[in-house]
Amino acid sequence: MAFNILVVDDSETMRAVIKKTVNMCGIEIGALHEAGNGKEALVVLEAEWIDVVLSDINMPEMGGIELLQAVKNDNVLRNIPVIFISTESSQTRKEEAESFGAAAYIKKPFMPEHIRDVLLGVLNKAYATRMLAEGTGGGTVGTEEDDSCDF
Amino acid sequence: MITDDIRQKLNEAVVEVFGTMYFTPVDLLSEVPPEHQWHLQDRYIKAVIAYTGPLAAQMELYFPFSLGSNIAAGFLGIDPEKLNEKQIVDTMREAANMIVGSLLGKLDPHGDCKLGIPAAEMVKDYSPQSVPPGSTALAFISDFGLMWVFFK
Repeated sequence: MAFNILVVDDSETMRAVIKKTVNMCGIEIGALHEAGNGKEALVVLEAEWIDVVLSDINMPEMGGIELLQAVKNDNVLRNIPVIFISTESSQTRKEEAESFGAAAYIKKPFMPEHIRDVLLGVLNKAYATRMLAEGTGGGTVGTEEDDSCDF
Repeated sequence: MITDDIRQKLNEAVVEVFGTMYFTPVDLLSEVPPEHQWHLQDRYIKAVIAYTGPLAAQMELYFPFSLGSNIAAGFLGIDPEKLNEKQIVDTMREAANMIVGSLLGKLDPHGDCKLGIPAAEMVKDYSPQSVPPGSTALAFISDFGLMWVFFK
């Protein structure tokens, strides 16, 4: 099963690095989309099937928290997991993100392995949910055999 | 005025960001070196970022061009000669964002302050002699020249 991933960050460089990291995670990727802020991300989410969003918080026009709120308030999008990758590292900010329904929180600067581990965990959960919804078998994303990460 | 605590935490943040993301050692000098040791470069990447709230501050960071281009090349996996100015500026803007975000996480663990959005640009003929009013100058040593931070 291939997953479609949306990377949201106002830094083009950071988007490129996150995409590169995701590509090296051993996860089968269908499409890797990107957006420069929450507003652009919503346009992509309306047009494409997205399995998981990796988003910055502190962005111009529309930040990550506002994006998450918009996703959770939309009946079609609400089950898409949103993982934050942010410089904002206070416990309060993490708790705030979790209270709004963030699937996980990764602090910048990050180790690529951390993104892989979090992404695998979140996708496994999402994959199980989709399998249940479709009434098909189980399985995991990134099993021990393909857990290698070429960082 | 910068306190010893902020100075130490800022250095921790700089070391963490450059070490974790860019594998480049950068360290705070105990004092600003004399002018003959500055070895100024033609171009610097200037990044400005502020945080507001109970601990409000603004920081200007000046990264030597060679530091920026080497980091951007390694970060993006591109030959330094093939990089464009936008990629270098964007890389260092994000570096500034991570440094000040990391500093704020250490100074303000309860999240009472709000981190601003950084701005960055390439500047020519920069000199640390032009200290922004009310700022404290800090110099960091790297393999690619001195990096300057002005804290207000």
